[in-house]
Amino acid sequence: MAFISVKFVLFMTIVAALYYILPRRWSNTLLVAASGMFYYISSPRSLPWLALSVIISYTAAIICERVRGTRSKTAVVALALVLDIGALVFFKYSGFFMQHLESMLGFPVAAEGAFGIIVPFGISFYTLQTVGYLIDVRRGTIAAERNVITYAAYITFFPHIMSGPIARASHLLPQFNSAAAFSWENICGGVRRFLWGLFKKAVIADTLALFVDTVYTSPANENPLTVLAACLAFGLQLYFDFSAYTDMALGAGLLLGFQLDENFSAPYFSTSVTEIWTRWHLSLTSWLHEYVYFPLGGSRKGYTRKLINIMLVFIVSGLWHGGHWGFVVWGILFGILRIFEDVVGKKLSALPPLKGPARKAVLIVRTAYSYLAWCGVFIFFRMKTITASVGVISRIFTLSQWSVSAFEARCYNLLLNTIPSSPAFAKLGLLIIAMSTLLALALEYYYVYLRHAHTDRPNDLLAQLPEWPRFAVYMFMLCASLAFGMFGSSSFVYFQF
Amino acid sequence: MSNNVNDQKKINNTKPRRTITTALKLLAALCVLSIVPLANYNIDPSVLYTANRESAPELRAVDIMQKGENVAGLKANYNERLLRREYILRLESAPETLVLGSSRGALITTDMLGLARGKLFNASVAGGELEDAIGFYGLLDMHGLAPKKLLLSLDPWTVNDNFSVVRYQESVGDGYYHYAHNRMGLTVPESITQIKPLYDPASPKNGGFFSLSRETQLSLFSIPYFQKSIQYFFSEDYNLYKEISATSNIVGDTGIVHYDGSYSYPLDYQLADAATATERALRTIPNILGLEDYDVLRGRKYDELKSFLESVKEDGVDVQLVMFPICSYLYDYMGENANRAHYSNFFLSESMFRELAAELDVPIYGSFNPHSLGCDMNNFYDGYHLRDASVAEILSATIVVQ
Repeated sequence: MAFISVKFVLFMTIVAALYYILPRRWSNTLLVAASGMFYYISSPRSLPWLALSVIISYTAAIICERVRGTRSKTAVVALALVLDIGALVFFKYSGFFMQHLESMLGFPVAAEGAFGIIVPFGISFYTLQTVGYLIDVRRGTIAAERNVITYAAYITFFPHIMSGPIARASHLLPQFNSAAAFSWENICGGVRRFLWGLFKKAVIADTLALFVDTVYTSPANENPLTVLAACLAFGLQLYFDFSAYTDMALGAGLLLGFQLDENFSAPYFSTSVTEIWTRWHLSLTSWLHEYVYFPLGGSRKGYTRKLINIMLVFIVSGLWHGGHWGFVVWGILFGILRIFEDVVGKKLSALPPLKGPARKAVLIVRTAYSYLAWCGVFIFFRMKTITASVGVISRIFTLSQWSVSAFEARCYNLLLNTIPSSPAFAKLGLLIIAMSTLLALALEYYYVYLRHAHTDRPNDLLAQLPEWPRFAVYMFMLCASLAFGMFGSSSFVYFQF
Repeated sequence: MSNNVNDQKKINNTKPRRTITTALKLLAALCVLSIVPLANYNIDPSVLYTANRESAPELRAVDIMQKGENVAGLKANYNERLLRREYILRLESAPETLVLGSSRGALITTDMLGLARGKLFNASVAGGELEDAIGFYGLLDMHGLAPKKLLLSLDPWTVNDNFSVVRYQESVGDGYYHYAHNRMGLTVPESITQIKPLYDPASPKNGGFFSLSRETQLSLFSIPYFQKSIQYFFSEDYNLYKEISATSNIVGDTGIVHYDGSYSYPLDYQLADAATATERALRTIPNILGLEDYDVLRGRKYDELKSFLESVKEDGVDVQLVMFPICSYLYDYMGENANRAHYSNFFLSESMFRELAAELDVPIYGSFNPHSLGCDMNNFYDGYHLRDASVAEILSATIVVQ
């Protein structure tokens, strides 16, 4: 079931109404039923795998607490982790491995189509949740959840089952044990957050996607400047697409009184790639930090080991996205950038700090470098194969064919193709979309600033604005969505993971 | 104490102001939202409600065609199916040759087939699917106007079960019902025989707004339809296509519907060079018309086509099939990506049609493969449409021109 659909709005309304009407003791049962229904409608064949994962992790956590002896506890959790992660590896990478095995052997080892396995919906996300939960129980940082319904409600919670945020048990699970009472603040905040996500998706992300997808379909036939623009636009598209999904998930959660984790923190206002990673897909990066980086030794075993651990974490992150060499290279390149910045940063920190305009200029250059490097590496993410990615990069660097006039003509042509009307109206559309992008970036930066300055502020972006500016933003959002929003798409980039 | 009284006064003063502010905000939002149905009803780019109140352009166009002249200046939102329906309903005798197909077949003119004026009627329509073809043939059959010869222009997606435009129902649903149900023995609901009125379909005399289909009613509040409406309103077409006029020209600033039902693209569209044609083709990727979801080669529509051709042959009609190529750019693209989507069925569709033609003993001409016909991007206006001259060339090289 798509988030951007009348069906989902109806579903959400009915679930929220029942959630607040039914006695509290039925809340989690209702959520499990609703999540099951949501999941079944989205991907019926995936439901048994989700149920199996819930049962395995629930049972293993209980047994882990009951058995005595460190080794027995570890063995129980390890077995459950092997089953959980094994399922993830099987579904996500069997095709990838078979393909490489066949190309190495030179003959097919399985019947055609045998490995065209359908990957269970959201498996990458819920597996990380179950794995995190089991490790936490084993470490003793949380107690195993005794009530299977409560646990199932936590894992399958429909706002985050498809693409996160990957909820940590220590934060979210207790919320299922004390169902929130009805609150207008939550309802209004949830609706506002959901609509904000909808606006970002329909007006910004999907419009940018039209440009990016067209150019990336056949980059060899495009002017190098156009390919470069598409590469830079993809950075924005991905951010607005994924953060829009997150906003909608957080909004849907808040409607039911749940505070899901924030996933983004104005990442493009960072002055290094390292900093972007502290503000991007926070639920995944903190998960990797907690369950991969720290167990590997983190920075506790010397500087060289720390750098190796950083690289390993990024390779795991790349692999988590799927079985394509592009993702692996993506992870390695980010690992290299992260290590480079760590080493250079260490040396630069010995220099006296800059002041005044020089400092500002350096910050601007560093912000630009961060975004360029980020987008450059994301070519591998977008294209998925190394050959195609290298093709895009070499196309960009075909400097002899750089042509501003050809770039302008192509963009103009694509614009008229996107908004098939008079040139003046199409240009107005471009202006509105550009303004929407700037507005969204500025508001989210302002929001992050407020969150840092006043930690007690409510978790609500638009509510932070004064009344009339807020109304002006609403009206702008309404007009921009009506005139230029793309409401045909129902999928998000991160749904593929 | 006095402070408390002042605070209470302030609260009492703020309450009505707050109500007024909220009411004003709601009013502003309602005003913006009400633009959606207003624009959808009044601009109405797909002619769902209004069909130009002054006079139906389709009626005026058929008046001109009946005089043997071509029609220029039809607005982009005229209903080409209803125009051809109206033409058929005014026919006094059967056309000797009937051409059926999609916009690719709409380029076939009387001259290209070497026929005398008045011998051919081309009922091909944009987005034309198999049901359109059966509907138009059925409409002629219903009125005892079955042609002597049928030239059916096939597309690679003609029998793709997932390719569905469903515009035939409101324009030739009765013809489809007549032929598919009564002659071919298919199960067809009688409800599709309700034809959209040519003039002011939402007016009370035509049954009113609530007599329209549910989709049409809901389109009044549709945001994508609103966007289409305002884009159309601000487009050059909205002003350019103001007046319908008779012309003897076969090409003009606007698209031209010929006296025989065939169609010519506007001059600026025809002036496209190979690069522009490639550019237009490129825009259709990755949504190559009706081919991404071509997952079953011989499905329901295949059986329907076979049954249709058998029935038409039984009527004593001389049937010919023709395949026009897809542009070389898209053809090669699909070749390189044959494993993706369902492009492999595109490549199998030609041999499937040839096998069917052989089985039914029906001649089949042309090819979907541009290379086999010696065509490159210079022969195309865009991804799917051959230049008029190239259509003529292929027809004269393959079909025995009279």
